[in-house]
Amino acid sequence: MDLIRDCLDKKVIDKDDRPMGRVDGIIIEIDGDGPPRVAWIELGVSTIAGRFSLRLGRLVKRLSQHLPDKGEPYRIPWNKLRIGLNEVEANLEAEKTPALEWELWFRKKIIGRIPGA
Amino acid sequence: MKKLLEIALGIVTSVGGFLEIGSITTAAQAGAEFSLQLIWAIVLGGLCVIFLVEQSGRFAAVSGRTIPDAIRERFGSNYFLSLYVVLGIVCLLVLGAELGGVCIALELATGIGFQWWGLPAAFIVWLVIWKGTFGVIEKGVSLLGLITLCFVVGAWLVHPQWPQVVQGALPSLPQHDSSRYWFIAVSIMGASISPYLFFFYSSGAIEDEWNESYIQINRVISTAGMTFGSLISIAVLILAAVLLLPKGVRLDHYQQLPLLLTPIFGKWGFWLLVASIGIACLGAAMEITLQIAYLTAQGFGWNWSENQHPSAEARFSFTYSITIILASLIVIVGIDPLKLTVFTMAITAATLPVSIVPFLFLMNDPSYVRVYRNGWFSNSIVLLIVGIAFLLAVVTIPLQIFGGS
Amino acid sequence: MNVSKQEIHVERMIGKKVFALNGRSVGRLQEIRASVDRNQCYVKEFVVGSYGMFERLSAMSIARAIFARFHSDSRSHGYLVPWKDLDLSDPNRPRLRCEVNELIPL
Repeated sequence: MDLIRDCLDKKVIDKDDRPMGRVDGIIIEIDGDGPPRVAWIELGVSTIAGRFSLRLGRLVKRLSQHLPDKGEPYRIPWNKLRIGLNEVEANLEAEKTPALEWELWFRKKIIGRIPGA
Repeated sequence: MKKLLEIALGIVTSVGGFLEIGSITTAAQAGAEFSLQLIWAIVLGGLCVIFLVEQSGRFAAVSGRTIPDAIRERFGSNYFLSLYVVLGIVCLLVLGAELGGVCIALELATGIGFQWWGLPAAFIVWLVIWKGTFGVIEKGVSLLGLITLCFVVGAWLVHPQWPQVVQGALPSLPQHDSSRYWFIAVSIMGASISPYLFFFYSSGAIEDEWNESYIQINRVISTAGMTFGSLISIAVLILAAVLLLPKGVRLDHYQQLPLLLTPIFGKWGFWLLVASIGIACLGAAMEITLQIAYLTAQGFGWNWSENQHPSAEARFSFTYSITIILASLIVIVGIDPLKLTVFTMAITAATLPVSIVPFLFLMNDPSYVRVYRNGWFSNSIVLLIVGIAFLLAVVTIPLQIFGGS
Repeated sequence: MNVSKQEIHVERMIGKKVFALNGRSVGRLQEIRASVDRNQCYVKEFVVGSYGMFERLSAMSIARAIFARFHSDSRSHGYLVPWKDLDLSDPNRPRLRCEVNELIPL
């Protein structure tokens, strides 16, 4: 499996096919002399910003301190994932994870209050 | 039979949804200043867009993904973010121009200044997107847009020199004011090869749940629809060449637009013009608003669809709501819609490469398009379009300075 | 003795230059290949060099056309670097632990 080609930037869907976001980052862990282990994927605006520039990533994280997710990216452990063709399936329920925190916030605070929503 | 109906409807909606303030303005200015000489720019732009739209539709039907989805997945977040920022700004300005087009129509109809119509027009656009489904927007408004065929009828009735019309379809050098000539040519190309058009087409294919069985339908719809749509633009150019040029009317103010139809249809011509611009720009405004929201949602992996309730896709709904509010501000502050249109068509041309280069890779990626990859002919055409896009990007700014109004 | 784990963001490594033992760049990091072993996923090798970028874009036919036109056959357009031969103690400056001629060319 090619991590960047087959996993990075792919859509993440939960076990009910609900979109959770995209794989914005992948973390590998080096522990001792063994091969690096692919540990987590990361979802979050600060992660994408960090790819553009580290300084921008730190700025976005700092500015996000007062927001619902506090700017912290959401990490999903590798053993919860199945890599499909151009998408990643997570063995989770999206609404029970921080991945949809913003979606739920917009629904509750703004969109849900407009008639016809 | 069902497929035939789908083809017919698809062509009709492509025709009805083709014309908007950019194509009207650039074609009319071309005719008013350079007679039939710039028909080739509409033909060239139309041919390019046929190929790009066909490939967008084929890509979506086979892969189940839109072009922006695939750009993020293959080219990474940095390329996508660059594209997003550039396209977002350009599309927002174009949206301001389209909304301005709706407001011009309302000003012509009522006499009340276009700025006052900014908020009501934005509200109508928002309301249709909020309450309607994709089918209502795509088919309903586009069917109404068939009123723009009045330009074709008008062009027939003014009896242009048809041999000269055919000659205008071949590229020629300007006889006067070269920088202005090439600026208008570039603007026509920008109005024709609009990235929002083929990105929206791929999103629409997903909304309509196209699959592999739609490949032939897609080919027919994209070719026939874009061809007939281009013919309407050519009709506008012919009308301007025959009716405005002899009188020395340069079409630098929107109050002059009715002159395209009133000499032929009288008072009916005025109302046809008002209805055509109003409906065409309304449809375009809805498409661009949705496209900005699609681009955002697809790039960041959110839930999106015009066929779901707004609360089921809150971030997507919020995005198109904020977009239309921002665009209305452009109208409210009083920026001349005609001048904004010409400017935005030119900068659309300048930003084409970032949108078109990915086609070269995506349409050959077997993990997306499988056996429906581009052959050598399609790849050559895309390479040529990429070359044209880079050329446009390089010459647009200098031409804007020396040839823009 | 407690050896702390090192976490590395893969997405920030794309495009970083990989340096040989003599300090020269051997190309940019374009891909990371991994394999699954007992429900865990481990890095197997790194792909370095321009061919790797075209592979990632599914554009090998374009790569071959370009390199056939502009490069001689003997020049390598990239390498496969086994995980143990890449020092990632500084992820911004990955360094080879072996000689370049020990690597498998692409």
